[in-house]
Formats: sequence, C-alpha cells, structure tokens
Amino acid sequence: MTDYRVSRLLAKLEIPLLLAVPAVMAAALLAGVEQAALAMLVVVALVLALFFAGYEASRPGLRQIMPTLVLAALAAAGRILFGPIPDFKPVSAIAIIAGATLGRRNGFMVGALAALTSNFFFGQGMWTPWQMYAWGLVGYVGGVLAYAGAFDRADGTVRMPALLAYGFASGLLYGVVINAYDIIGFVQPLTWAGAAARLATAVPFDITHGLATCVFLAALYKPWCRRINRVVVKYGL
Amino acid sequence: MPVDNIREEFGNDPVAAFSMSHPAVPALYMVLTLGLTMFSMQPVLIALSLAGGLAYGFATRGAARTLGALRWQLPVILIIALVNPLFSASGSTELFRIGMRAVYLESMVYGLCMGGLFVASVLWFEAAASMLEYDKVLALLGNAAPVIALMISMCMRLIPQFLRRGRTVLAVQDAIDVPGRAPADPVRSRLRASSALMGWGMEDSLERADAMRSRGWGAATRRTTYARYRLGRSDVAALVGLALFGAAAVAVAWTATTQYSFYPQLSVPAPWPGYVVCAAWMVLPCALHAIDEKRFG
Amino acid sequence: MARLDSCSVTGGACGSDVPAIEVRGLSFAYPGAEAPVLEGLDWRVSQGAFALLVGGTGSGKSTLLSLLKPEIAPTGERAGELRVLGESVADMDVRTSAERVGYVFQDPENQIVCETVWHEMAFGLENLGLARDEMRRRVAETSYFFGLEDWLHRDTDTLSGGRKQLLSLAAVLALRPRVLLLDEPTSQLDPVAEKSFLHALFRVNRELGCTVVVATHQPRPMLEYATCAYRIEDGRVREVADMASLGRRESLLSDDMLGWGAIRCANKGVFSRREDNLGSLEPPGDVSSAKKSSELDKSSEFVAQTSLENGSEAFPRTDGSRILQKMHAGSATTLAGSWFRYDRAGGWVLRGLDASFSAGAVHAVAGGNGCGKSTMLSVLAKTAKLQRGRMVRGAASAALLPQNPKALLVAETVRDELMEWSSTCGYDENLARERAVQLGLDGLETRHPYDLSGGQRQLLALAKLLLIGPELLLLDEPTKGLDLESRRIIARALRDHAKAGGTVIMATHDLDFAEQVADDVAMMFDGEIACMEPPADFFADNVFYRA
Repeated sequence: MTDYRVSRLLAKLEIPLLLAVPAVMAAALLAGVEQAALAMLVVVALVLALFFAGYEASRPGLRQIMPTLVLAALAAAGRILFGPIPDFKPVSAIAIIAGATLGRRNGFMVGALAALTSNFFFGQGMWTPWQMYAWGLVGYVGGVLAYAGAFDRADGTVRMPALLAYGFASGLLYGVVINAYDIIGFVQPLTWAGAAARLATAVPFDITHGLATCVFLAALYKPWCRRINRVVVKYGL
Repeated sequence: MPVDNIREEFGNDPVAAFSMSHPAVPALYMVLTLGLTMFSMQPVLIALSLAGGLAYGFATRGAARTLGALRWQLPVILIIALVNPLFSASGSTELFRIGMRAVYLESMVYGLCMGGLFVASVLWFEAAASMLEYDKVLALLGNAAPVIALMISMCMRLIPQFLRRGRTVLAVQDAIDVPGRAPADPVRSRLRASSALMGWGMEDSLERADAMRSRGWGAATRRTTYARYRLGRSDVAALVGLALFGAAAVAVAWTATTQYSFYPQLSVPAPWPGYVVCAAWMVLPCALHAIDEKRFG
Repeated sequence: MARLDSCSVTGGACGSDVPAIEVRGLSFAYPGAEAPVLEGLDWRVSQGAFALLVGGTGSGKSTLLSLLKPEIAPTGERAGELRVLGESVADMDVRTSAERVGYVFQDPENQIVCETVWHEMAFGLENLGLARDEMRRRVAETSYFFGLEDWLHRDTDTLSGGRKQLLSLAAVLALRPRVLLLDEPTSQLDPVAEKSFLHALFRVNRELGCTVVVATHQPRPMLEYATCAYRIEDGRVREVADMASLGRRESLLSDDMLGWGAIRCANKGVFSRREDNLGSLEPPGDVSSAKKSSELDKSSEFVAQTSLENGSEAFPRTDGSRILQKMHAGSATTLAGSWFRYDRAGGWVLRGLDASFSAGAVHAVAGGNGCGKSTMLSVLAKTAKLQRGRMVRGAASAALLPQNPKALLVAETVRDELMEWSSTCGYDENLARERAVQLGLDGLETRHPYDLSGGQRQLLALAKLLLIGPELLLLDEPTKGLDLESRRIIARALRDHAKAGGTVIMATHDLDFAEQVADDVAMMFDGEIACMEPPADFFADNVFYRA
C-alpha cells in the first residue's frame, strides 16, 4: 500500500522533477554560484534517483519492462554499431519511439538506461548523469507529444513534418542540456565570448545529431511502432 | 571471437584499488573525492587532486590510456583554461594587451585552475568507473531498487548479444553477391540491420518473459538481490575510518577555499600542514594499488 | 545436494504412489482456431520417471507442457483436470509452481536473463525473495552439482550454446523443483553438447530423484536415459510400447530421388580435393587419391552431371529454381593455403586450409564447435578476408544462410519478406509464390514471420535466399532444431539447387542429413580439412564420428 502511495506521489512529482534541472541551471547562471558544477551534478543525480524510484514504486509489469529494456539495449548497441559514422546516434530516435509506443515514462527510461549502459562501454564520467537526463528528457517529451496526438493522425498515418521537427529539435534539446552543464559548470567567470566559443565547438555536433535523429525517425518510426505494438499486445495475452 | 571480449576492448581494467572491500567503501571514497574536487576552487587543492587522479590513472591504466581518454575533452579544457579568461576583464595585475583588451594575471590563473578542476574531475570519474564495475553498482542498488537493478543487468546481457547479432545481419547482407547489385550503403544497411535486430530482440523477449515467469517472477511482493559482497567487520572499520579521514579533508578544503580569493588580487597560498591531509586523501587509492602490486607482484 | 524427493522440501501430498503428472480429459483450443490442439487427453507420469514426449511440430507437445505451468500457459478454451504431484495445477500460484515444477525452454539464447553466470543462477531465488544467505547456499550447491564453478564469473553472452543450456538447467534446479519439464532442450545444440546436457539431465533424474519430461522430435540420443516414452498424436497421448522404434532413422529424400542416390555412390569423383599446385604426387595413404588428378576430376564431374540429368539437355531449369548465368561444370570454388584469424591476439582459426568445392554438388562440412566451419563460410561469402592464401569463387553469385534465420527477417508478412529484394535482384511475385509453394510455405503469405514455427522460419529464410538465384549457396547449420518434414523439404531444395548446376556448401552437425543429402563430406579439424570423402566412404572409415 505504501508503495502505491509513494508511486502516486512520485508520479505527480515527475514533471516538477524534470523541470528542477533547468531551474537549478538558471539559478546557478543568475546567482553565479562558484561550485555550480557540483551543485548541478547533485541535483541531476537526485532527479534521476527520484525518477527511478518512482518507476520502481509503480511496480511495472513485464509488458513494460521487457520492451523498454530491449529498446534501451538496442539504443546502446546502436550507439556502438553506428560508431563508424560520427555523431550518427540512434539513441534519441529510439527514445522518442519508445515514448510514443510505451508512454513517456518508459521513453525516459529507455533514454536514461541506454546512456548509462552504453557508457559502460564508452567510459563513464560526469557526463553520464547528464546524458541520462538529456536522452531521458528527449524520450519523455516525445511521449508527451505523441500522446497529445502530435505525431499520429487518427487514420494511422504519421504527421511526418511534426515528427521530423521534433526529431531535429531533440538534437538541440540534448545539446542544450549537455552544453549548459559544461558552460555553467566550468566556464567561469561566465562571459558571452567564452560561452560562444564553447557553443561554437558544440553546435555542429548537435546539428548533425538532430539531422541523424530525423533520418532515423523517418526510416524507423512507422515500422517500429507497428512492431512494438504487436509485441505489447502479445504480452497482454 | 572478437565480440566476446568487447568489454575488454573498450577498456575496463580489473585491477583497482579497494577491490577486496565491499563496494560501499570505494563508493564512499569516490563520492567524497568527487565532492572535494569539484568544490575546492583553490590552486593547491586542485593541484593535489589532479596529481592524485593522474597518479592513479598512470598506475592502473598507464599514461597513454589515461591521457588518451582526455583528448575528447580538449576543446572544453582549452576554452575553460585559455579562451574565456581572455574575454573576462577582471583582476588587477595586467599581463599584456590584445588590441584594446587587457589580459590580467588573475583571470588567467583562474582559468587555469578551472581547467585543472575539470580535468581532475574527469580523471576521478574514470577512477570511479574502474573501482565500481557495474556488478558493484548493482550490489549497491541492491534491495533498494531491485527492478531497476535487474533492468540494468538485463541490458548489459543484451548489448553484446545485439552487437553480435548486428554483425551477423550485416554479414548476411554483405554476403549477398549478385552481379549488377550495388553494394549496400553503410547508413542504409545499418538501418536495415537495426530494424532486423529490433524485431528479433522484441520477439525473443516474449520467450524470455516466459522464462522469467516460470522461475517465479512476481512471486514475492519484494524481490531480493543476490550480492557477492558481504559487509564484514573490516569493511565497517574502513567505512568509519574513511568517514573520519574524509571529514578532516573536507574541513581542510573548506578552510582553504573560503580563505582564498582570486579577485581583485591573487592571494598567495602559504605552506600549511592542513594540505598534508588532503594530499594523503588524494594519494590513497594509488598507495593502496602500490601495496597490492607489491603483495602480488 | 540432498535428494529432492523428501516431502519436507515442499510439503503437500507427495507419497511416491502419487503420480508426478496426472492429466484427465484435457481439451485445449487456441482462440480462433478451428480444431482443438488437445482433445480428451489422458496422461500419467509416475514419480522419478525420465519420460520422453514425442510428436511432430504442431502436435501440441509444447502446449501440453506449458499447460502444466499456469504462469506461462497459453490462453484459449480449456477443459479437463491437470495435477502435478497430486495438487491441482489450477490452484498453484506462481511461487508454488516455480518451486515444484521447473521448465527449460528450447532456445539457450532466449531464456538467459542476467549478464553473469552467478546472477543467472540467483535470478529465480531473487524472485522468490529468499534471504541472501540462503541464496548463497543454493547457488554454491547447484554450481558444484553441475561443475560450473569455473565459469561462475563469466558473462553469460560469452558461453557456448551448450553451456548456456546447462546454465539454464542449473538456474532452474536452484529452485529445487521436483518435476522438470523440458521443451526441445537440445535442439539448438551440437551432438557433443547434447550428450553432456543429457548426461547432466540424467544425473538430475537419478541422483536427485527429480521427475523429468522431455518433449522432442528427435528422441534418438535420449533413448539410453529414458524410462518411458509417450507419443502425442491427434490431440491424445499414447504410451510408446516399443521404445527402440524411436531410434529408427528416417529417410530424407523421397523415392524419386533415390535413383540419384545410386548414381552418387557410383561416382565418387563428384567432389574434388585441391592438389598441391607443384607436385602431382598423391598424398600417401589416401585411398581414393587415384581418382583425384585434375583430369579425372573434370571427367567424373561431367559424368556425374550428365548422369544426373539422365541424358536430358545440359542444364534444364527445374521448376522454380533460378540460377544466374555462368554455370560451367568445372567452375569449382577453391581455397588454397588459407590462413585466417580474427585479430592479432586470437589464434589462427584457419590454418593453411586447402579445399575445392565443385559446382553441381552438395558439400557438407562437419566438425566440432570452434573448428572453423563458420569462419570458412564467412571467407567463402567474402565477409572475412584471408590474411594469407587464395580464395577463388567459381560462381558469379553467392548468398549465405546464417545459423539463425531471424538474421534475415525484416518484414511483417511472409509475402513482403520474400519480395524484399525483388527489385534489386530482379524477380517477380509469381516466382516468389512458386518458391514459397516449393518450400512448403503456401497459405502462409499473410502470416507474420515471427508467428511461424522454427522450421517454417528456416524455410522462409532459405526461400528468400534462393529467390536471388545464388550460384553458390552457403549454409550454416541449415537443419538445426528442425523436424523431419522441414529437413525433408530442405534436403530436396538443396538437391534441386545442385541439380541445376549450383554449388551448395553447408556446415553441419547433422551427420544423418549429411550422409543422405551431400555428395561429399569433409571433416574440419583445427583449422584444416582433415578428410573429404563421399558419405559412404566417410562414414565407413569413421569409428567415432558417425551418423
């Protein structure tokens, strides 16, 4: 019973939690906290921990767990498999597809788990929690948009422009999170020129990432959604 | 087969400090060290942390791999250490001018310290990864989040399987050799491969779910977690010792950092016995590693 | 480990006179199916038995077994009564079922859940919420029983198929079940791994007193362990009185192909072993070497080819088969002095391998795990490049059928699957349909490939590859885990392919299949071809390695 209450509470806190990270970033930016990197790291770790606790407390069934972790492992493997093509990563696209088919929470879990597990191969670092948060957020927002009907029409066709627009935006969203932590945490004292220099090194990658996500979504969204739904239905039997 | 040791390929060194302790011990050490490193904006402390991180990296992974891992961070480090101070016109000791802009010693030193802090935290995160392999992370997550722990474990089981299968799918695709058929383009063939993998993995997960159910999945209201680690008396002693030691180091770092200022004028750190505590803390894993090496080497 | 037949372990009514499994009047129909799979089925297995449950694909073996585990039982119309150790299955909750009835699935890849061996062993115990000390004890005990302590810390993914399956058995046994159900547990294993798995299972049965029921369509290797056998047919179970009859080998090629078989025996020269370029000296001790000079080779090949066609025109296209141009009888695919390794750290997988595979014939390559069979196929498929030596492919086109046909499946219906390469490889829907019929896939066009049986999936993958018309067809374990019917269809398809002038090279553990279908059998060992002979000679000379 307590589990159920905790789960309800954490489910309500989900959106405020996810917003806490940008809020702390903004606060650090405005107040000019000296130990911004440490403070933000603590907050993002806490947010991830609470999100995971909420997932755990919701006692997810196999029909949620299994597709989620297959997609997470697939995203992680894809990150390695597409390694030869620089910055061509399927993680965002897979997280969005997971959000659209399995719901926003599982979308978040796919992004976060993919970042965490693939970094056991690429190398863990202080970027891990940020990547987990950023990819999780991409999946979460993807789920919210899909359930609001932004991607699919009632007749089953896909609103490609909206989907691709979000796909591209997700590359930037991911970039904003990762760059913001770099800049606010370590570019100190913060000057416009310094921030611009840092951004200049990162933006081309983020744009490639956004475009790659578009390519993945255009090619995979529809067939993958169909297949995932097919399997989810089978889990229900 | 090359895929079998994929994790070794990506470089996880089994030799690490605290390898004989319960994972809580290295975890406590790492949390404190990372906190100390990222909190202490003070040249001496940063130098100590950087030295400790580098020494541990060199000792366990060798110089080439330790420095090689930093190369991706290079642009950030450059901006933090050099570019930004050029544009932040604070300080009092003017070094030189570029056009109309004055470059001050204070902001230069500040930039270098920030860069050093960044590198030190990257190094310590790497150290943490080598001390806390994921089965230790799982043991720590333990009974607190059994479902998440299991999901991580299952992901780690699936990733090498998917990589192996992905290579098979690509190989089968490449093996199709028909005159006049254009060779597959790498993006397209990998997209096809990931679709094949997705279908394969998803459908297989149905059978795996049955295998889980038939072994009692969901039988208990709360899963327990098997852990290979037992929290023994020596681990508790180590935890208490580390906590006391860590408290001392934090106190030293706090004092040193709050007393230090970069602006308007750089304060010059004086020799102080307190630094010995911090130095000892930072060199601890390296020392433990050296003792281990001596014992077994 | 203590014997598990003491009542104290699980409690409940379990005197030894209570049957382990008792089924009365069971009927079961899948939703939407016209006819029930099981109808009025009665079945009784006594405690301590090692029972076989045989029957073809779709006879309901798996359905029957899974109905004894309520948590994995399929949905559908059901009537009748099932009891395990005297307790009604309907009353069992997940915990009781896990503790009393163990279930081992077919595919070693898919039933392993965790990343390391020790974690896999503990998985079921974690589910039951056991205390850590109790888990340690059970994992330790089970590891010793199966002798797995040496690989306790290995990643499960790096284990061989045989070890994976042994681990699955151990992980189930850690729960201390008293009845063990296994669904085709060895169908994905090679013969050696199969033996050691069965031996472990035998020890579980005899030493622990655990009742064992194995569903299988290849009961032959299990006969020496089994105490009783049941056949499931037309929805009912009958006891097999004459167990020795289950050991009979079935013929794979139908009567109209037998004529060909006779010719094959007469013409030993259909295959050719590549001779050293310089010396024409025959290797000493090679009995059939006299027939192997390149001159004779060609002529005997020619004889084989023409006699195969019974004097009809040179290369008539048998219905539906379609092979791209350049089908000269002499265009053999050869490997000369081939050396290959995957990386510098690893050892050589191919060590100076020489071989020649003539066109218009089916070549089987046998050998243990890790002998380099699959690697040789990769080299022939040009997905792996020799570090030294030369590979000449005497074929204009090629395709490789991987061990698991799922590596070829991307579409959502059988029809789309068959049509995937129609535009790039130039074939149309009629041909696809014809192929589907030829490989026994008719009527399945609208089905999802993953809803097919394992055998049908393998046939689909083969059909898909045959449609692109590869002159050189490479197959890795084409009959793994297949039932008799699918093996017959594949045998026929491979013979047809060779008859039309194609080259078929298959790596296989299925010696029975090799003997009946191949023109020659090569034994690969330690990165080389140890011998290569027509099946009759091959199996006559082998003392240990036989079908």
